[in-house]
Amino acid sequence: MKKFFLSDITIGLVLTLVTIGAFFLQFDFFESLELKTYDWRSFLRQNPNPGNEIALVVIDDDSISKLGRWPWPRAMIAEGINAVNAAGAKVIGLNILFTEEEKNQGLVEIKNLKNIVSGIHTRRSDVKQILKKINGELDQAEVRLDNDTKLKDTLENAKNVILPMYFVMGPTLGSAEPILSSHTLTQIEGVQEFPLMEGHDPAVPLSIFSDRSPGIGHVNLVPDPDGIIRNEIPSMQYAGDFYPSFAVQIVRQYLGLGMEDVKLVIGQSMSIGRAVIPLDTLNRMLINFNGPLGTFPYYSFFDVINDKVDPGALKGKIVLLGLMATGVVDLNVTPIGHNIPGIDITANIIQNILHDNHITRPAWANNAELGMIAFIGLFITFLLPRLKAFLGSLLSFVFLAAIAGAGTYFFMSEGYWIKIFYPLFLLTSGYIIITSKRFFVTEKKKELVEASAIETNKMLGLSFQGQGILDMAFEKFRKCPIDDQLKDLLYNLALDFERKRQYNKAVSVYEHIQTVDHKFKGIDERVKQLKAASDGAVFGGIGGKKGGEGTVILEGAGATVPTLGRYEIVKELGHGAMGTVYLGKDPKINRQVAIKTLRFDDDVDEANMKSIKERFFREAESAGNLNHPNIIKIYDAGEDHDISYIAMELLEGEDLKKYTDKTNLLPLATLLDYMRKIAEGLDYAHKLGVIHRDIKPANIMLLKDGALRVTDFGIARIQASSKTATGTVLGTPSYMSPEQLAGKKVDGRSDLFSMGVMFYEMLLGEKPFEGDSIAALLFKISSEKHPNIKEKNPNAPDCVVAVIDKLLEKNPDTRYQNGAEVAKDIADCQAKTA
Amino acid sequence: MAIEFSAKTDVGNVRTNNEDSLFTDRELELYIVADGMGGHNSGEVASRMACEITSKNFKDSLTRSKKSDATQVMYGENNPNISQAANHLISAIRLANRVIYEASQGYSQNQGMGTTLVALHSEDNHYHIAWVGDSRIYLFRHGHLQQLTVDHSLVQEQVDKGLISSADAEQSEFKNILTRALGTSEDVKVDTAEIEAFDDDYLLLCSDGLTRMVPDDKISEILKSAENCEEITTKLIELAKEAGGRDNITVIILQKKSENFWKKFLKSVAKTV
Amino acid sequence: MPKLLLKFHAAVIKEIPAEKTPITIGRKPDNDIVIDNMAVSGHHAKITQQGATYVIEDLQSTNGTFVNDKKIINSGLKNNDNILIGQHTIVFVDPKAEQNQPEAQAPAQKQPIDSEATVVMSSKAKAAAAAEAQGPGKKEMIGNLKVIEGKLDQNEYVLSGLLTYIGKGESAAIKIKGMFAPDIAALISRRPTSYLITAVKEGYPKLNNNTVSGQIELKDGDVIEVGGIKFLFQMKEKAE
Repeated sequence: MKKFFLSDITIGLVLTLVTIGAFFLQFDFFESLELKTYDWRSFLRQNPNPGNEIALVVIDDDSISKLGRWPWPRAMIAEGINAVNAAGAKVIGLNILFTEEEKNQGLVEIKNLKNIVSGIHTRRSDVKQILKKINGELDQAEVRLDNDTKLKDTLENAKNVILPMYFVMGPTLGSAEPILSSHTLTQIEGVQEFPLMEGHDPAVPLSIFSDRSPGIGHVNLVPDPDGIIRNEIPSMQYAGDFYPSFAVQIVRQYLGLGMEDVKLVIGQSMSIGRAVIPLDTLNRMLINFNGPLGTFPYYSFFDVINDKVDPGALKGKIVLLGLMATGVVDLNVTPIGHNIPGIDITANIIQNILHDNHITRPAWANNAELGMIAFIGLFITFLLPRLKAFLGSLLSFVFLAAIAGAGTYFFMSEGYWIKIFYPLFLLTSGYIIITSKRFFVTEKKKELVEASAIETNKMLGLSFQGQGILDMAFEKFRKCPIDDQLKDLLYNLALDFERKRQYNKAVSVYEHIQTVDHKFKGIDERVKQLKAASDGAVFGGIGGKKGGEGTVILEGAGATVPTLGRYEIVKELGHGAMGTVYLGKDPKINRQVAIKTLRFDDDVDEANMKSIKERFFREAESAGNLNHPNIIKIYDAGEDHDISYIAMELLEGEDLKKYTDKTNLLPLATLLDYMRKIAEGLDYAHKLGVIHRDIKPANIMLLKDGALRVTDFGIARIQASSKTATGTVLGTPSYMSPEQLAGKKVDGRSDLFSMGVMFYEMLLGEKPFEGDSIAALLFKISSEKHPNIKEKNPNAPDCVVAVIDKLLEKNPDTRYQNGAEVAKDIADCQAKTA
Repeated sequence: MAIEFSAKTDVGNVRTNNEDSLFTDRELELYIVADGMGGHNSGEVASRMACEITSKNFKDSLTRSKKSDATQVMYGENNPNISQAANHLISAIRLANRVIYEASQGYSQNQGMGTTLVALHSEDNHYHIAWVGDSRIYLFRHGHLQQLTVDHSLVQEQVDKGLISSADAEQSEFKNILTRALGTSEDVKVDTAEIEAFDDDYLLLCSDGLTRMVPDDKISEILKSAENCEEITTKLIELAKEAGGRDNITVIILQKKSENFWKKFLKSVAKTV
Repeated sequence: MPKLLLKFHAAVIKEIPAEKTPITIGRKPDNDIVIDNMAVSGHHAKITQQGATYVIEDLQSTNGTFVNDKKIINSGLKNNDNILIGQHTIVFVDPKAEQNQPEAQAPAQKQPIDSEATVVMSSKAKAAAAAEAQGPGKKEMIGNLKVIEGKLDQNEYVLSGLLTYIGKGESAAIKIKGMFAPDIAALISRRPTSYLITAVKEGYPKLNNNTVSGQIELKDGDVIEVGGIKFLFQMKEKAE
């Protein structure tokens, strides 16, 4: 589980899903970081030459210091407007909102005085004259002080001053009174899907002013959640109507168009004549800032009214008139600067519209961004973990650069805002996590440790069990300490024994488990059952057909004694290669015999069984034909209840191997006696066409009564039908004859050579042919004469030496030709040495 | 690795039973040929055991190594110069040797049973080969047939030591004698080699029933002109029998196919999951 | 009852009777045998008794547990076995413990070949003899090709692989250039005691100015020419 959670795939997928989720849900964290990239790109997109349609006339610190503290009398504003128009401006955007009448104490006093004066009645004509004069002065003063009227008149004459208005952002609570209806949009299309930009509680200019202005537009600038102004709202919704913005009105006026030429397609675009403004779903326009303050030319108000400005500076232009003096200026934060006055922003907006210089999100933006996220997601999930550190970093960097580059390129050249933060986030976070994971989670290199003796025995046991060699499996398992794992293995082994109906053996395995755990998987019950069953007429090691349940009881046996053929089975002696060997008894003649049975593995099929049985009986036949006192006797062979068996002489004794040791050599007479007997036995067998092929001390048995038997004709073959496998050489190398080594066909003389080796060995206590390497050994056997016997043992009789020498002739033709010759020579020797 | 293969065994013209065994598993990427020897049917038993034990133990080791981070055990000494999978293969072969050896000790009938073994495992872009005995693995590349294994036979040793020439070796009366086999001694030294794989390589694993009957240049001819693996194995066995077929013949032919990029990519993806 | 001798290097620090099992060994104080050393893991190993055998088990320690210098995961213990944990040794003393747990690998004994088996003989003794014939301390030799005429990527190539191809193609380890050069011109194969060169492109490679046909054994000092490049073949001692 741990690996699953930490796997690279999971990490990659989780990150990708998180990013996609954030993308759709527009989490603030992501969006604000995306905006940072937007700002950075905006910075790059600055345009120092934005055109020359716009100029700013600002009431700056200089003007304030020279013309007085703000607020100024409105007549001053009027004067400014006149001056600008005199310079030939086409449209003026006056960014000062007069919502109330001017509070002019002087005017109030004058009006009072006028009232007082008009309330003075007199007959004296000279007083009347003075009063008239005073009235006149008062009137003039009134005129001079009535700034609002001055302004009103200026506006009326100018006919080109656009005035601002201001909303409180947010939908209206309660009822909304429609105002300035003549300045609302009339051409509206489209369906409102999303909540649009909406305002309430509008602040509007005095009607005396607004009536004399060709257009009123709102100056609301709505910052993004991070406080930065990036958007303009070309039309604000209020009381069911759409109110154009200040900039829109200025543009319309500049282009000489009417409100009917302004068309709004909700959530898509606004067009002013031929100028098209792309909008987002909330009716916003992205502002393409051309540069910091100063990008658009601005002139001091003081200079303008004092004709200090170049005449061509304002001619035919849009002039924005507003405040920039410290303390009264409205400063905003924009992508390209921190303290940007409102009118500068307005200037940028106007420039955007006139020059079609927009930043938009193209229709394919969403799909492209999603595609990039998916692509990067695939990259970090499937490809990156598999790349080497260098290549991975390189590719990641390439992708990073590509995305950032593409985003920047499109932004700069086409004004397309593609959201690059999401894929970049995915790429960087994925890269960092996967690389650091690689660094920290060092994959523990799997060590290979040499198996201990215990593990080796377990492995061997299992392999034996797998091959169906259950006895050896048990032997191996016995050598391991019994832990929980071994208990299970032993249990399975016992079950295997049961399947083969070797119930005794199954019981021994269970009992072995019981030495540490009596109750493991209920084996004590099982053992009881099996023991009871085996007390019946069943003995282990039943060969024959597989399958069948339950215990096998021999039919017709009647007695409680198990039998095979006519032989009674007394007990198990051990196992041979082909099956179990029992001690049996021939009841008729009361002779004890050895019974070899044939056992099949579970997976042996019919055809195989047949051929194995054939071989089994062939062995019996070949040896069975031999009836010699010095050769092991075969009595009988047969099949009973699907069990094949051979009954043979029961040998009680030892083999001659121990007499090959120098410290334990036989006395000469005994040795000669044995050798003669062996020669006679071999002669007999050879005459019947049977070659032993593996004559060696281990295969000569010395019985308790002193008799001698040649045993293990197991690999003997009848010569006539010999199909010796070339390439396989049978026999024990030290005793092999040269022709046997060469893989050639051998005859009885080969056995004689082997006998010679054995004779030498039992005489001298060392082998005639020895070598450290097989090459040396075989070379010696084939080509090198055996050591001089006399030199090894000067006491060896000459006749004995002669016999051995002739037995060990390399060329079979110069060797003894048959055992009889050998026996005769040995007999002669015995006489000589007696 | 994308491998196409064909595997065949034939009892030959002279023998009555087939003591060769073979094993193939494309998923496990393991291929084995074993040539057994011994009295009665011990040869069959030995070669079958060699194939079964080697493949099963190898498979188990690989499964176990994928699961946990713990250390793995292997039979015999670990060779740090070869890959882990190669070590597992050698460990499995050594185990098989021990099992066959002990089995032969326990049953006099099977005494002296043994078997040769050649095994090939493909991993990433390499072949790992391991062998004991005189069965062979050949590589056919660029039209040239190259024997990759070195026979563990008496005559080969004599040739290597410069005692006799290869021509003499062919005529030697000792050419049947092996210096190494599985099952004849408690321990065995398994030879291994690692070769880089290239597209269109042919690999031939065979018992001496083929190579004693068919000379290398004839084998080369068949590999050059054949269209597919099936054809090659059929033809090789035919040739061996025509030349006498005195022993069991077993042949496995592998051909490395080129993988297109997407398969490779998807495979490496699948590996990480 | 067996006992455990705790030693640091050669000095015996403590004698601990193995009264009851399991006996845990590690750095943390909750162990039966506490060894306060950074090389020892918190819970390093454990000795248990299974039947008559005492068994030591490594508990996935960082540095491993060694019995008689062999790293183990679990192992039976015999009398006088040395268990190495970090820098401390614990000697397992149990005169009654079985001495003959059969080892998986019997040491090779130098004996004349005389096993009960047939034909195929253990070449262990043979290998030992062969190694001796080489002389003790003789290093493994490896073939080298040094560029003596012409220019290639490297000046010298070590022939460590079983097969080394010389040619223009992808499978060639030694790449030669030339428009008419064949993909594979020659193959140098490594045998146990020698290197052989085979002409894959008949007639192209030359050995000591004679065209190579078939397979020829390389001797120290031979000059091989392939497509205008000449190599000197040398047998050098393998650098460790």
